[in-house]
Amino acid sequence: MTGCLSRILKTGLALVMLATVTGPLPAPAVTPEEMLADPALESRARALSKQLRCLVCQNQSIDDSDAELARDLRVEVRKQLATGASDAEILATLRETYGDYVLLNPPVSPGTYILWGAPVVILLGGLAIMLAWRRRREDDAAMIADDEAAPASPAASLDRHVALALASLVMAASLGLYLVLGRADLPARPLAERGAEIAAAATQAQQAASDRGAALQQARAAATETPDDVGAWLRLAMAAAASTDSATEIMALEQAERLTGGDPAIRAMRAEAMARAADGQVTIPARELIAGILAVKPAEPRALYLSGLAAYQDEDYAAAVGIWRRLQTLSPPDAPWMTLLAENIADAARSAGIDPDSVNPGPDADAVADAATMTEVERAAMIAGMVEGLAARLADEPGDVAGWRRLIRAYRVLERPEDLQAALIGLADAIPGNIDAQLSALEHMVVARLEAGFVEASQRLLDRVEVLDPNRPEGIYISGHFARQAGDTDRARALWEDLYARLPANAPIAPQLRKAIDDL
Amino acid sequence: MTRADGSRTGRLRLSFIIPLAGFLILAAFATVALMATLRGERDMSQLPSAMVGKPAPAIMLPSLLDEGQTISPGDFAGRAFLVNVFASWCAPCRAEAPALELLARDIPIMGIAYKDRPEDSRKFLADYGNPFATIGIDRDGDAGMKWGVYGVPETFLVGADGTILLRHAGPIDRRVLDELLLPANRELP
Repeated sequence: MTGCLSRILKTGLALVMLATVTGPLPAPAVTPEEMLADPALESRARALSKQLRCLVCQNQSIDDSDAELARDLRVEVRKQLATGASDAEILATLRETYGDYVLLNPPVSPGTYILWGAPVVILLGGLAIMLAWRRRREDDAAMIADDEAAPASPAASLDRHVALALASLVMAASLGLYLVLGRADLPARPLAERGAEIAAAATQAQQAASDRGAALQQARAAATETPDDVGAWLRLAMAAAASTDSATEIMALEQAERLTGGDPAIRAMRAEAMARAADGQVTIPARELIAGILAVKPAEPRALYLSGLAAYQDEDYAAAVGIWRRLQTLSPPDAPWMTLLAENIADAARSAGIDPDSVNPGPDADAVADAATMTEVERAAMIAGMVEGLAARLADEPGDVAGWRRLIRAYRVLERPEDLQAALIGLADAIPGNIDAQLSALEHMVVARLEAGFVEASQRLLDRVEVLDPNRPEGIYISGHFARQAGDTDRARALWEDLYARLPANAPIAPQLRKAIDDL
Repeated sequence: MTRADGSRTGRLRLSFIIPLAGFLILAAFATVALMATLRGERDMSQLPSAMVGKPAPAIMLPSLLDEGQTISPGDFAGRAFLVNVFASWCAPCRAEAPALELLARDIPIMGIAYKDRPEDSRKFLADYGNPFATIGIDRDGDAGMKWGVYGVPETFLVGADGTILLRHAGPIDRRVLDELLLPANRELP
């Protein structure tokens, strides 16, 4: 019995030592400027912080966490300490607003009886089982003494095997679960010790930004000085790209394109700049540009990459894999984009649920040439297909402002006024506080004479314009127009007279407005 | 064999079945919780709120829209209202703007511009719409702490008697709107 006890003690000791070695190291996140001057108060603040949960990280105390909310709570604790509040009072006020959850040690309450009670119950249950087993062993001993020749009970040995198998199963299952879901997180890196590192990074970033600005200025000056030098425009484009000035970049590339008579590589760079300007979305104009480039030069790598990206963004993952695989086979094995390309292919293949190697690496040069000679009708059908997909997606996600802008551009190109009108209204509804969006939807309605089809929407947009800026001339004119449409001539006259009075006498539209008022 | 054997298997079965049953019960609980989490029905980041059932904190805040004025939940005395804690730097706040616009037709909304520069808040409202009846500036997040806010956006429903009836942390999406806020709004007396 003493041997057994000492074994238990040794195992326990080993477990405690293991926990000490592998457990999280204390790593406070408190920063020097938060600290209180009074060391006694500060040490109470630290002690309290260790008992409070960071509600956004959930398994760290606010003493350990770099999260913004944790910082706020640390400051709050110190604020209250400075007013002379007791530890218990501080914990109580925080519990009042954030609930029991803010305490890392949950209080005993009806909701936590199971939590606190379970270990006791399990311990008592274990003791009971141990006692039962010991009693059985004594019974066995007594029985063997009774009957020397009794064979080992087959039922008992079966039970032992079942128990052993079950225990192994549980251990294997927990190990499996850990391998699937478990993750040993990195230890905390307290903010306090990284102050110098962060400051250095900030100065460096600032320095780099001002360097880029200077380089852009220089490149702009050089390009204006030698407007016939392709290299100067390309350098300007690169400097603008580094400063994320897409407008300048696209302008410079257009100049370079003009000088080279539409070099496919430069056009592809422009397509890429257009996509970058649209938050990485390959817009419809960019797609048309890409289609044009691939028609001339089917192996243009940048255009191929963007065309794959366009397919990916249309959620046509199989096509994306095909196009990117083709780019892979066309590129030299040490091309700088190979790593990114391989990652993209893997990603698209996963989304499509296919094995990338099973995909034929894209259409060959002939097929692309065929696509280039697509008739105008086929091409229009292809673009219309892309647009339908976008419109369907926006019906589900009406808040996607960039999507509405793309759709509006597409409908303008395709000359579909009614769809364009609906898209303009969609954008106006997505950004109801933007008066220009409201006005441009209304203006198009007036110009395209679509008022009858969108009565409800026009009322909604007019109401918003009225609220946002009742003095906007365009808004007043359009309100008058709709009043006239509705047969409310008096209101229309009042609005337009008001507008006429605001116009400077020499405004070009003044005579037209006068005539419209007189015609009422 | 004799009587001793019979009583032994009885005890043995009990000592085997009790821990097994305990284990199975625990495993069942864990499985249910794990499956709900994996299916997205149980959100670990949705914490229980201690503020539900308590009076709305009566904090005066400088008004964002009328400079020099102050706003407080008392402005809505006798009426139910929503409180939405937002910030221009918070991307989900943009996503929930249309939902708030919809809610504003039925119920006034008090905005709290949490840890945001007033000029940024105004720009945000110009871009994404202003569904708010009043907006308070909470420059350093003090009011947010009184409301028990731990991340923007958060939305509270306050009854006509000034008691917090409901709290939702995170953006208001279609599901939250249809299953939580609109029904709660309908059930108001």
